[in-house]
Amino acid sequence: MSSASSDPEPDPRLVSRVLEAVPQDEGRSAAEFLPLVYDELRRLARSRLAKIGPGQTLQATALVHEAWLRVVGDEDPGWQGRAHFFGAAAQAMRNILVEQYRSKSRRKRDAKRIELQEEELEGITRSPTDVLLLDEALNRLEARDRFKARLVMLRFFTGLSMPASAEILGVPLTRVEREWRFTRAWLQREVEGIRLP
Amino acid sequence: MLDPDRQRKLEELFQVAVTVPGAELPAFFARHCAGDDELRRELQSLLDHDEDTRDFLQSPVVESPVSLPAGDSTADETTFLLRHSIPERVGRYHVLDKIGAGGMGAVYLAEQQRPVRRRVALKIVRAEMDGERVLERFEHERQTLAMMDHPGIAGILDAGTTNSGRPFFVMEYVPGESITDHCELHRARLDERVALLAKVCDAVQHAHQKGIVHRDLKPSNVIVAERDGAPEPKVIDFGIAASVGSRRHLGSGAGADAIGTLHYMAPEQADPANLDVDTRADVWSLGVLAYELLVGVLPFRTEGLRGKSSEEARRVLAEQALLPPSERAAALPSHEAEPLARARRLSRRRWIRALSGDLDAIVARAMARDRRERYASASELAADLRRYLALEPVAAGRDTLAGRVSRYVRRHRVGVLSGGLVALAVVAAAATSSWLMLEARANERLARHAMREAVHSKEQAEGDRRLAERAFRQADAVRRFLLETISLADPRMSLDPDMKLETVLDLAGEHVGEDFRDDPEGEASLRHALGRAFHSIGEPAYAELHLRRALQLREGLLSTPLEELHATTRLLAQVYLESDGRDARPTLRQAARLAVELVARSDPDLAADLEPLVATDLVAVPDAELRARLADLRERLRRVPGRADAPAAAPASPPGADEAAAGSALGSAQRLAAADVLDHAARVLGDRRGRAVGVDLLDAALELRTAELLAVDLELADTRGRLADLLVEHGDPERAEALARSSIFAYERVLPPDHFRVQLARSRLGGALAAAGRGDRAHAVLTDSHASIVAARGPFSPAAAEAAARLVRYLDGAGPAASANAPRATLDRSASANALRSERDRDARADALRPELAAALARVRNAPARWPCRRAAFGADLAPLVEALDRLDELRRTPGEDASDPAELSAAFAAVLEARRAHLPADAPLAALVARALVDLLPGRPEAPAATRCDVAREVVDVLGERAAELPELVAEALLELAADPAEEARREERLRRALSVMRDARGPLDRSSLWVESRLARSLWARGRHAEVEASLVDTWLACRDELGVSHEHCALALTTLRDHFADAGRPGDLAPYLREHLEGRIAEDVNAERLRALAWYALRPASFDPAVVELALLAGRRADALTGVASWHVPAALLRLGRPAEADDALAAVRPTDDPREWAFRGLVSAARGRPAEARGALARLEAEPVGPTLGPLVAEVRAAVGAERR
Repeated sequence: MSSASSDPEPDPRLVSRVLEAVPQDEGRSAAEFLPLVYDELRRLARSRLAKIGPGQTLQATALVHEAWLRVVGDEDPGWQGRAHFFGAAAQAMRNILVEQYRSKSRRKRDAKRIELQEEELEGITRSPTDVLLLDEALNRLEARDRFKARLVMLRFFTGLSMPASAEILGVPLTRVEREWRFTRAWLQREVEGIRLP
Repeated sequence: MLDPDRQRKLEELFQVAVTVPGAELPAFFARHCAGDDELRRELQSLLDHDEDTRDFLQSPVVESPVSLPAGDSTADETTFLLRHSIPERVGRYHVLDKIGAGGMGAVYLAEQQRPVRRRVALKIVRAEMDGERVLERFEHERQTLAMMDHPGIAGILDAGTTNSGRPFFVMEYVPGESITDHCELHRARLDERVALLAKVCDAVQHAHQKGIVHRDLKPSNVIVAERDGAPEPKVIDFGIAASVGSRRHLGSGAGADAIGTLHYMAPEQADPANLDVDTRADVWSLGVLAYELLVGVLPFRTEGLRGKSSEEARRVLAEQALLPPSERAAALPSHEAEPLARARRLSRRRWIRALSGDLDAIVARAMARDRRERYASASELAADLRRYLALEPVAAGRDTLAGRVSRYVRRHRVGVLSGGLVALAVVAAAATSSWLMLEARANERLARHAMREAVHSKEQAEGDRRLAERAFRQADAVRRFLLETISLADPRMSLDPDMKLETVLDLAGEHVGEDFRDDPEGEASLRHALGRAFHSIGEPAYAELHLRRALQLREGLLSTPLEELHATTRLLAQVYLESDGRDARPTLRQAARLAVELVARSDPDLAADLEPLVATDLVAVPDAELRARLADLRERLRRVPGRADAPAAAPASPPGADEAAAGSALGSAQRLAAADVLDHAARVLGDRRGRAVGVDLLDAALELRTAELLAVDLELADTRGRLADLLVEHGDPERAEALARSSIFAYERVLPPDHFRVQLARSRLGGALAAAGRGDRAHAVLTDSHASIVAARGPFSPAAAEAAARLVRYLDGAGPAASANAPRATLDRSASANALRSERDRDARADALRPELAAALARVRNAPARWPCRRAAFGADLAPLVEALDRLDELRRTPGEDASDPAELSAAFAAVLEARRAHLPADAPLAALVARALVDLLPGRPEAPAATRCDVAREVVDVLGERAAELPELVAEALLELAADPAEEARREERLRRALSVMRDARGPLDRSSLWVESRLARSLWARGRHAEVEASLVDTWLACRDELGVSHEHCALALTTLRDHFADAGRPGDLAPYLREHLEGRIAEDVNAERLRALAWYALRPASFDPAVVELALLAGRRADALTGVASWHVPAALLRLGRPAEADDALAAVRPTDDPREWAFRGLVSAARGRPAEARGALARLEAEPVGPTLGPLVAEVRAAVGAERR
């Protein structure tokens, strides 16, 4: 009755190896960290999605944290390590979700306009937010202001709280709160712009 | 698209616009977007979208907010970590999801199908536990568990084993968060947290009544869910720990889970050898829970526990003293404390204040290591929590007056409360008390009268006698009330110290003598209270006066309890310690003796062990033996019942048994007395012995003080502070830092933030930070605290000297960069007050400091209100004198302070002097008092004419001259003042010689002040052309310093400075070479003090030509200093230049980071000139000339000027 045996044990040295390997430069380290987190998350998501029944949701939080456990393990990797992990996890979650939605919507129709039906999203999220539109809007935001884009990803794709995001981004909470309000308005407008061309 | 600048503007405008009311928006737009339509459109559209983004992105793709795994993750913080995968079915339960993992196993959300369909929580115990045994025990307890029926307890529904044989429990499913998460997420206020906890206590009490001990209470076992909008806690897992076996899950290596559990476990429960665990173990866990809810961190530190065996972990936890919640909150670094305070909707200061007092006491009582000292039941704890909420006195701890006052204030606070209310209460109390005093005295007389009547006329009715007794009681009550009022005015007790305290105390002080003429006991108590109050507000002169009288009275009364005698003596010793020129040692020793006597009353053996610590011959005992003895003593003190972990009683023994065994329990007063003895020994031995001994002693004292439930007083803070100092030198800066922080907090709670004792504690913190390598913080803290102390107590006060010593030590270690940033003034004053005094005569910059110095001196000397205190000593026959002094005092008190007319001031001083001569002979004791009052009143008046100063000085010499040994500094100052009088130049030498002999007699010839007076004398003689004589005497002094103190002693360096100036004045700076050589050689050989090395090197570099052999030494010193600090300074290139090696100097200069030291610019200029770069040299010169350069630098500047000029030609 247990499926534990099918999950390979995480390599305990993995995280220290990765964290040692990542240089201080943040852009590069996230890139190097990403595949690791990404693979783990995708594998987990697939096995969970296969198991859950109709009407139930998959907790992406749980995914992220399970990935955390597998990649990082029991040891706290410190701020640097947490920042790398959650940065990579946010990116990975975003990729995974977008990929899932894309394949579903592609199966459904080949229309240019992307439109998703709520029930199809179940199993992944209850959020009514249109992930694909958000993804597109996020791409635009990234081109203009990487900081804001990172904030949105941390908040939305890994479910970090404001204080936790502030810690990861290494800025005061007040700044995060300020930026968040502006960014939300900006993204909302952008998403509407995409939806109604 | 907007360009980046306008994008930024857009963002800024947006942030403001969201706060602007809709009606004002058009105006806002008009003002800020005028002429920029694109910006306006952008802003408008964003604001439109801000309106309807209520849901957008509000919840992440995930459902529940999670917290980051923090650095020190415990079981509760990692409940989301899904370690095991989810089984599909367990018994007849269908598993839906995993909802947690704890110390004993994983918890799942499951669905029960039959007989009813409902959701349940299912806990599967970890595989390594013995399933059969667990089930057996559970069956055993099942009946009892079934009896539990309380809304705050989640019942256990079922138990069984999985297919693989692991035991599982089925419980009522309680959706919600753990109590700690709930409170942090909802930013629950402190009273909400306390109320919630009281409900938890109710639930636990219910179980206790059914005979069930939880044994594993912790946040994750207390779930809070909102019911009808109100948070309701539910305790889960009751009965499980007992079934599983309380410590079974601690067996193999303490992982995060086990440690998490260990945190909440009572000491007696964590001890594997102890089988006797009762309901009081749960009380302890509730105490930990309270701590965590109130402070936001666990009570004991856990760093380094991971990976240790549970035995070790237990020991580590048990060895830590419990820091009261308020102190812990105060000791947290601000990046941790600020969010915690915010999560309680309080400012940090208010948070700390709210914790201190009742909540501290409640937690301390619940978490007493000895369970006999704990609340006997959860309901008692609940009752105290509710008393706290109802603002009633709590049962925990003593019911102090402070507690009552603070509750009074809390209860009566309506709307806004400021410190004003308390101040008002104090003033009102003072006013009332003097009225009540009269009333009391009237009552007393009435009572005496009635009593006499009753004795004389037998037929007096019984009722009248009762009346008389009642009057007596009332009188006593009033006396008590007054005492309380005074205590209230004591800032240790009141909430907000205020200037008006002085009024209260003055008032009380004036009445004491007359009102208690026939009541020496009463007078002693009152004077003691007054003395303590004055001491606390930093008025040692006042405090001394009252305390000495109190001590005199108490010593004279056979009826004085030992406790009181001890209290007064130790307080007086403390006052002496903080006063200028007072030898506190005899009084300290006396206080320690009394403390031993006090201990002897309940434990003669212990007293016998403490006795040697008082004696000075202890100094002769070798370190190792001493430490061994100390270890023994400490062990004994620990074993004294009433502290440390109680010995585990056998389960069968009746509850009273261990209490009966307590035997010679030390009372609270004795325990603190023992701590006093240890403190004293640390003080006596500390200077002469290894630091390890001092650390041992203070550690033991701290342990005793901390063991006292409410020992959050200034004595505790003092011990902490001194221990912090020792630990800095002993290589434990981290602990030193924590101790320093908690002592700062303790002082701050009772004293205003700029009080010198608070600042002294901050200076200690600075020392600890510096030792921990956190120079940036240390620099600010040290500089700042020193400056505050100088402002409050003057640069010559013992406190300023202490702070200065730390600052200098830091600057020495931190290298030139730090020194360059330190204000020159601070450095000057820090290095030594005397150095400044001698500097100020010849250095332009020091000159600018003079008024500041005078003002600082005035502040330290002129403790306000000293005169009114002395006034009482003068009888009615001296009325004219008193009036004259009053007049002078009024001038001092004139609002606007510095606005009084010099002529008026002169006249007032003259009037006093005249009145004194008319009414008192110079050798009368009261004349001395007048002289001191004059000195007190003078320095605050910089506008006082020089003639008046001389008059006062003459008076001091006339009156105090014969008794100069008592107040040598005062007399020497006066003599110097007179010596400076140009009108009496003929007597200058005589006066200087007398000042020198006064200082030498009192302090010895090598004392700092003596050396300074000598330098003054030397300058005076020099001016009269007696060069040879001067030189001989200065060289003699230097030789004496060298031979007796050693060449690296600070005073020897002082003598060298005087010598240097002498040779410079004589135009033979090179003659310093042989003396300087010795200093340099000595320093280079033995010292690791970079700043000193550089200072000495500078002596050799200042004159353009100097003995090359000594310059070589200076070069060596400079290199040594650079190596020590890791920073290249200008001294090395300067030395190379002086040695005629400009090319090397040039290279070396390239490595020197520019500072704002003008000496560096000068040498840069000189090197540039020597290397043929005239433009650079001129630049350096221009910069130098723009600075106010004193005579010290004059020759160097001239040298640069000459070098530039030569280039021009």
